[in-house]
Amino acid sequence: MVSLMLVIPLIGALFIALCRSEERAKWIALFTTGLVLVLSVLLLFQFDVSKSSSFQFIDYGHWLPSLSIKYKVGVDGLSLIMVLMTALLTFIAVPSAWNYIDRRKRLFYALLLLLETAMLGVFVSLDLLLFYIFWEAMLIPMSLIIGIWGGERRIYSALKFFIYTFAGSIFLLVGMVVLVVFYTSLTGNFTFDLQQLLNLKLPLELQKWLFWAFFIAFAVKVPLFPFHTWLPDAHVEAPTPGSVILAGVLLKMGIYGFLRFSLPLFPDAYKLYAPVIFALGVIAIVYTALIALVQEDVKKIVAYSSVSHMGFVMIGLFSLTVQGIEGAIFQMLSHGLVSGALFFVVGIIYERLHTREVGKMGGLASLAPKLATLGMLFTMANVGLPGTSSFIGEFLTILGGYKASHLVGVLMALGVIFGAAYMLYMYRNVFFLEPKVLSFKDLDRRELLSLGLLALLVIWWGFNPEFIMKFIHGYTHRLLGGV
Amino acid sequence: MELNLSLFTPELFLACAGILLILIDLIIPSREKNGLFALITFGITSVAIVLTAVYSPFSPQEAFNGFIKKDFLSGLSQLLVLFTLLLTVLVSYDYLERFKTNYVGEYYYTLIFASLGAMLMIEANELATLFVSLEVMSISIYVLMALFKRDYRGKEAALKYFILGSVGAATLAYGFALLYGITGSTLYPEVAKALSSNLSAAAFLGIALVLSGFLFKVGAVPFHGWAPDAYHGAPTPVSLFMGAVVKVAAFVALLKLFFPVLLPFFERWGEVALIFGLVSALFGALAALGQENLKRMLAYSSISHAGVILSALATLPALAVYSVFFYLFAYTFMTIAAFGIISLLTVKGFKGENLSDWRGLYSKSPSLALLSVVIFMALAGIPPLLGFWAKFYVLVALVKTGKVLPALIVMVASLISLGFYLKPLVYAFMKEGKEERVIPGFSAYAAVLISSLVLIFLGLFPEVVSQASLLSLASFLKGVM
Repeated sequence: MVSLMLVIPLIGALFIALCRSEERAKWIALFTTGLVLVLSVLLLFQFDVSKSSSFQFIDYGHWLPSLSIKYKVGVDGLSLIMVLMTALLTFIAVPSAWNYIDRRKRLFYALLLLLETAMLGVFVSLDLLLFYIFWEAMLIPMSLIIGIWGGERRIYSALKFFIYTFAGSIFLLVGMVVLVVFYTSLTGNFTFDLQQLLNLKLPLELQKWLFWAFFIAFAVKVPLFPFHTWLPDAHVEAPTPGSVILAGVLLKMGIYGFLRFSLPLFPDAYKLYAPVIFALGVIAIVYTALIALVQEDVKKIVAYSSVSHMGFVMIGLFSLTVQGIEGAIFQMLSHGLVSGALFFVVGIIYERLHTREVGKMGGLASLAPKLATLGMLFTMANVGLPGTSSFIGEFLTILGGYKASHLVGVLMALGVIFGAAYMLYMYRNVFFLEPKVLSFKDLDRRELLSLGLLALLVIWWGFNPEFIMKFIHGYTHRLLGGV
Repeated sequence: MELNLSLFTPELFLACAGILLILIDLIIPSREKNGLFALITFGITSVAIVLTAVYSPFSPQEAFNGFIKKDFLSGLSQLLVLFTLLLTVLVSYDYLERFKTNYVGEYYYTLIFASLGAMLMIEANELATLFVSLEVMSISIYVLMALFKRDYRGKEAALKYFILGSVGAATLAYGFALLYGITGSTLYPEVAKALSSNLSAAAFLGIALVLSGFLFKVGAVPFHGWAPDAYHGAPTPVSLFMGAVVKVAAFVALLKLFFPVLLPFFERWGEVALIFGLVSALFGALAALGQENLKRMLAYSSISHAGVILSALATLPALAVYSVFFYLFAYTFMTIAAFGIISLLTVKGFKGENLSDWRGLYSKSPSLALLSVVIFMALAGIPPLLGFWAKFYVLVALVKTGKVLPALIVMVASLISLGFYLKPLVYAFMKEGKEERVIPGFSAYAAVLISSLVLIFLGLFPEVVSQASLLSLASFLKGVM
C-alpha cells in the first residue's frame, strides 16, 4: 500500500507527459494527488495504533543485493502523520497553482507529482540509502519549480536552495557510509537497513562526529539558524504552490531526520550537544522574529515566521522530554497546515494585486470578507491562539524547553510575543486601515474549499489533538526509553 | 607457448574490416559517402560487439605467448569501447551531414582503428604491446581531430594534442625502457617477479615515469593541460569518442599494470594516486566553474572525474577494480550523452557549444531540455541516476579502507561541480531565448536518447552494472593471483 502511494504520482506524471492538453494536466494532477490523499487516509485508519512504535505495512525487496541495499518502505506513527501531511499539502498545492501557473503547465504538474513521490519516499524509507536517494532526488523538481515559475530573483534562489541542500547532504552521505562501515566491522554484516542499524550502540567518539555530519544536512533543511539564509530567498521567489510545499513539507524533512536518525542512532551525542541547539534555537526564535517585524514583503514575513517556529520545534526536539518531543511533532504538523495556508493566502493576494508589499495593501477586509475571515483564523493560528492547533504545539514545546532550562523557556515565551506582534501588525496593514485598492475579487469556490479544508483541520486538531497524538505516543516513549 | 589466435578473432575482424574499408573508400566515388560508410561502420561495430561478447573468457586466457591476456574485465571494457564507437557513428553521421569534409571514408575507418587501439590497450599484458596500442589509438585520434574542412580550431587542437601527446608517450616509453632494462623482460608477470626482488632507484624512476605517462593520458593534474584545448577544439563527435574511449582504455590498462606489477614493489603508490586524484578532482571542478563553453567545461569536468577514479586506486585492489569499472561504465555513457547533446545542438557556425546558446532550450525543444536534465544531473551525481552510484561506490571503497577525509574531499568536489552542471539547465529552463525550433538529426538523437535511458534505467537498477563489475573483479583477481 505504501509502495502504491509512491508509484501513483509517477504514473500521474507519465500521463501528464503523454497528454497533449495543457489544461487537462491540472485535472490529472488533482486526481492523482487526491487519490494519494485518499490512500493516506485509508492508511491512517488501517494503522494499528496500539503498535504505533513499530513499523507497519512494510514492503520489502532486494534492490542492490551486491551492496545489500534494499527497497524497504513502511510507516510507524511518526511516518504515518508525515505521509498524511505530505499528501494533504500536495493536494492543496494543486488548486493553489490553478491560476498562478499560467505557462508550461504540463511540466509544472509533472514536476509536482515527481516531487510528491520523492517527499513521500523520504518519510517511508527504512533503508538509509533509499532515504538519501529520495532526499536528493527531491532537489531537482523543487529547484526547477522555483527556477522556472518563480519571481524576479528566481534563478539565484533556485541555485541557492539546490547548492545549500546538496552541501548539507554530502556530509550526510559520508556519515551514512561511515556508520554502515562501522556496523560492518562490528557485525560483519554490510547493510543500510535502518532497523538493524538501530540496534547498534556506537562509541561516543564516533557518535560525536556522525552527529555533526547528520546535523549539518538536517539543520540546513529545517532550517536552523545560522543555516537559514536560503529559506527567505527560496520562499519569496517560489510560486505559491512551491512555497506551500516548501513550508509545509520540505522543512519537516530535516526535523523528521533528527527524529528518525540523529536521536535514535546517536543518543549520547544528542544529549551532549543539546545546549548548543538550545542556543541556536533561541537565537532563531528571537532573531528571526525581530527580522520579521521589519519586513515589508508579506511573503517574507511568513517565511521568517517559519524559521522562528522551527526554532520552537528544534528546542522541543532537543529538550528530550515527552512534552517537548510530542509538542515538536505536533507543532511541525500544525505549522505545515498554517504556513501552507498563509502562503496560499499571500499567493491569492499576489495573484490579484501583483504586489506583496504591505504598504500597498490595506482595507481588504471590506472588499473580501471571506478571505479576511480565513486570513484572520490562520494569523491567529500562527500566533498560537488557544483553540488552534499551533497552540498545542507551541505550549508543549515551551513546556519541554522550560523543563530542560528555565531560561530557554522564558526566551521562547518572549518569541511568542514577538510572533503575535509581527503577525497582527501584518494583518492590520493588509486587511484593515484605509483601502488602497479599488477592487478585489473575493475567494472563489476552489480557493474557499481548499482553505476551508485547512481551516477545519487547524481547529479540529486544536480541540482534539489526541487524534494525532495517539499515533506518536508509542513512538516518543520508545525513543525516550533509549536515552 | 602458443599463439591462441582464435582468442584474437574480434580484433582481427576489426582490423580486416578497417583495411577493407580503406579499399572500399578507394573504389567508391567521393559523393554521398556518409550514409553508406556510417552504415558499414555501424554494421562492422555490431558484428565486433557480438564477437567480443563471444570471445571474452571468464577465466583469463593468454594469446601470443602472453603478450595479450583476456579476462572478463577486459572483455567488458572492450564492449564499452565498441558501444561508444557504435554511438559515435550515430552522432558522427549527423555531424558529417552538416559539416563537410573531403575525408568521409578516412573519418570512419580511423574511428575503427582508434577503437582497435583502445581494445588492444585494454588487453595488453606486455609493455611494448601496451605502448604500440596506445599509439595506434592516439595517432588515430590526432588524425580524426584535423579532418574537417576549414576547421582551423580542430587542426590547431590536433597539433597541440599531437605535440603534448608525444611528450606523454615519450615519458611512458622512457619508463618502459627503464623497467625493461632493470628486469630484462617486458611481460607483466616477469616484470613483477623481477621487480619484487630488485628495489633500485632506477626502478623507482621507471615506475614514476610510467605513472606520469598514464596521468597524462587520463588527463589528471598536473598533466591535464592538453585536455581543455583538445576537447574544445576537436569536432564534437571526436571529443565524445576521445572523452569516453581514452579514459576507459587508459584506466583499464592502468589497473592491469598497477595492481599486479607496480603496487607490490612499493606500496605507497596508492597514496600517490590518491593525492594526484584528489587534487585533480578539486582542480577540475574549480576550473570548470569559470567556463562559458560547454566543451571546455566538460573537459575540466573530465579532469575532475579522472581524479575521482584515480583516488579509488588507493583502496584495496578488490575495491578499486570494482569501483573503477563501475565508474568507467557510468562515465562512458555520461560522456556520450553530454557530448552527444552538444553535437546535436551544433548547427552551422558552432552553435550549441556556448552556454548562451542554451538559452530557452526548453521552449525550442522540450525533449532535449529534459534529456539535458538527466545528463547533467547524472554527471553531478544526483540520485537516482547512474552517476550517483559510480560516486557512491568510490565513496564506499574509500571509507572501507578508512579514508574518510578523502571521501569527503571527493564529495566536496562533486558539490563544487554542481555549480557548473546546473548552469546549462538554468539557461535551458529559466532563461528566455529566441523562439526557433531546433530540429535534431535523427541518428544523433537516437544516440543521446539511448545513453540517457541507460543513465536512468541502470540508475534505477544498478544491480546489473554492479554484477558486471563484480564478475570482472573476480575474473581479474583470478588472473593475478
